[in-house]
Amino acid sequence: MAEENTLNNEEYDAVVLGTGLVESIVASDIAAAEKKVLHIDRNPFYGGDYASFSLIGFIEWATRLRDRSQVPVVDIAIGDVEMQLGARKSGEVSANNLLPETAQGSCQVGEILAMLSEYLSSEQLEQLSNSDVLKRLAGESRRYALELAPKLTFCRGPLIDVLIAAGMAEYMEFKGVDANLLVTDAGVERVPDSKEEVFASTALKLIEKRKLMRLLTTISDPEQVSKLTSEHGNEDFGDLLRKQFKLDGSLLNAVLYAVARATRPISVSEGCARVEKYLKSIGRYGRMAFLSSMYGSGAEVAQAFCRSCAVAGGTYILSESIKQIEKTESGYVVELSHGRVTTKSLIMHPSYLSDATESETEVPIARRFTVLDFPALGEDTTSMLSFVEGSHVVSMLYLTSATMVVPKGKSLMYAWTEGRYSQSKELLDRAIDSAVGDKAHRMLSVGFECRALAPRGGYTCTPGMADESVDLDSAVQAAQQILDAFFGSGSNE
Amino acid sequence: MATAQKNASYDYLMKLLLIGDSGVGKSCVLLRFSDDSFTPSFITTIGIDFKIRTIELDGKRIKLQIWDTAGQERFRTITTAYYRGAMGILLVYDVTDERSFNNIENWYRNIEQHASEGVNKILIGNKCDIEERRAVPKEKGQKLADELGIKFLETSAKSNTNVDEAFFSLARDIKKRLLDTSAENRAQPAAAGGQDKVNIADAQSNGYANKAACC
Repeated sequence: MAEENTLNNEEYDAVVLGTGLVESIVASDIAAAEKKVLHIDRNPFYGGDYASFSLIGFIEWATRLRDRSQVPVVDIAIGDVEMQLGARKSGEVSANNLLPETAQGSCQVGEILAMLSEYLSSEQLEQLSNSDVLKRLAGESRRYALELAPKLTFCRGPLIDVLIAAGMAEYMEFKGVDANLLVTDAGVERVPDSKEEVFASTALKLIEKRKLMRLLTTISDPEQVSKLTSEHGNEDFGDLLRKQFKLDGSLLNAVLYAVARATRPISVSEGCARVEKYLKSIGRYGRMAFLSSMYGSGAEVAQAFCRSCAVAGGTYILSESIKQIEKTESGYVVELSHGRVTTKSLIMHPSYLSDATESETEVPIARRFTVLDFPALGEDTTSMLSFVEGSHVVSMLYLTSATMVVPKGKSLMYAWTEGRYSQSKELLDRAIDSAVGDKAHRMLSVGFECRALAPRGGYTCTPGMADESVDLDSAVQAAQQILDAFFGSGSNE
Repeated sequence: MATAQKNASYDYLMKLLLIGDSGVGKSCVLLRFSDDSFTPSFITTIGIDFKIRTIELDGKRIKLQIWDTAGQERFRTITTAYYRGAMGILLVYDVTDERSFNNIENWYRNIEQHASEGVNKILIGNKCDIEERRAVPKEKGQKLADELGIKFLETSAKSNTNVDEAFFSLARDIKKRLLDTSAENRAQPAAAGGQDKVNIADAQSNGYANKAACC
């Protein structure tokens, strides 16, 4: 398509680089204040660290579009064919020789093979071109929404408040998360996460019910919580649960990990706040604490904010390269492929800094997901899961066609944990194995590591990656901080 | 309570999209249809999110929710989310601007990529009142529509020609498709989008209440 538009010397109040959730909230809020916003992404897709893709789109991201300083390696297994994208098996095969033949049946299969060919041996390429699994995946490519950082939405919390206030209810559809599950050696068990659930549970012994009721009652009572936090506030929440509430085994895991999501040790104050937030979320829209948005999470929410920014007059450009950023007395001059613009403020994801490096303070996240050819934990349902092994906690999400992220009859299991992928791969596999068992049902398995990029002094940067939390509230808080600084400093204009 | 009233006010809810180059008059077509107004303006539209008009077809009340591109067509950065759940799409070009006509095929490809399969489409040649500056003959528009296998109308938002016809024609096609397929359930508010869909704006909304409304 011919480009008839240029941006020559346009002036903006804010230029925002990156269309991840944090950048998109920031752009939308600034535009809502009647400021002129230019919102750019260097990728041809929205969503940044939160992006979601069709099946073919995901392969394209993994092979061609991913930022290799953030995601150095991607493991992909399609049926039995395993490959590591990062190390190329160059020189072994000229893929183009094979392509016309295989492309006959389906152009989607051909497209995928063409992208993967440079990472495959000739046997693998042949195996894959005859793969029935690949045909099935490719044929329904558009029915998949595969996410880099899948998330849920708390029924009560900063995100839902912002969505309602900004009128996003018109843009987005949600479904309730049906179950919070703990993955154990014996399979999955439902977490007794409310008084109702504790009362109705047939799995819990009477004494366990009493312990849980005592905890839930305590945390539902502000007076008791303030007493607890004034006495023990800085102590370890896990210790408190063990000593004061006598919780152990899967009961302890349920409260500490499945509900309070203490993937690292947390204080009593923090733990109480998290359990309280969880309990308050229950009942707002039904018996669940979380919602799952249709067609994916962060990227859908980000796009809703981008649209609202555009409705308020924001200008959008994707696939745009940033050639140079120059600081001036009154702001910045940004040179883009569409022309040079000036702006008072510049807000960006750290990956837009040409010399961005991995953060030394933030732990990377190891991620794995698998597409299953059957609804492993039930059709038309969504669950969050936790897998605990020693001091390691794996967060998991089970999604189905209920939220339109896989075709009917298939399911999707995500698992992630803090740490290097190379060291966590097997842990993640054990988590998925324990939850869904039988490997024969796996059509597609993917694994990769997300590294946070460090911001550089002198620039306003958003977080360097989507964090390991299961919800999107931390992204909203990060956006709020940037907005506070923007409107604080901009108020004297 | 609110849900029950909403259910009573229409039989079908249809999400429609306008797509096409900047300046072809998408927003003018939309405002003519929804508000019966026309504002000639050279300023690229900002601020129109979507408009609603309820029409009657064969005794059924159909609530049309029609979305505008909000300027995101300028650099062809329409969000994939824009296409979610769309049942019908109006592909609009300007009969006085050949480039906008040539770009229809690109927009069509975009739809193929992001909208759900089976979405109904109609090709619209707008500004047909400006005969003296016409650059795209009517036959050319018809030919493209035939190739794409979709309906075609020339409209003028300014002189109010064929605007209602375009929306009614698209709505009729969608209704027919919904009746022909089991997808009917999706559009009927009584069963709107499954039982457990949550409207976040409705604090009272919960799974149980929605379920009750369905049964």
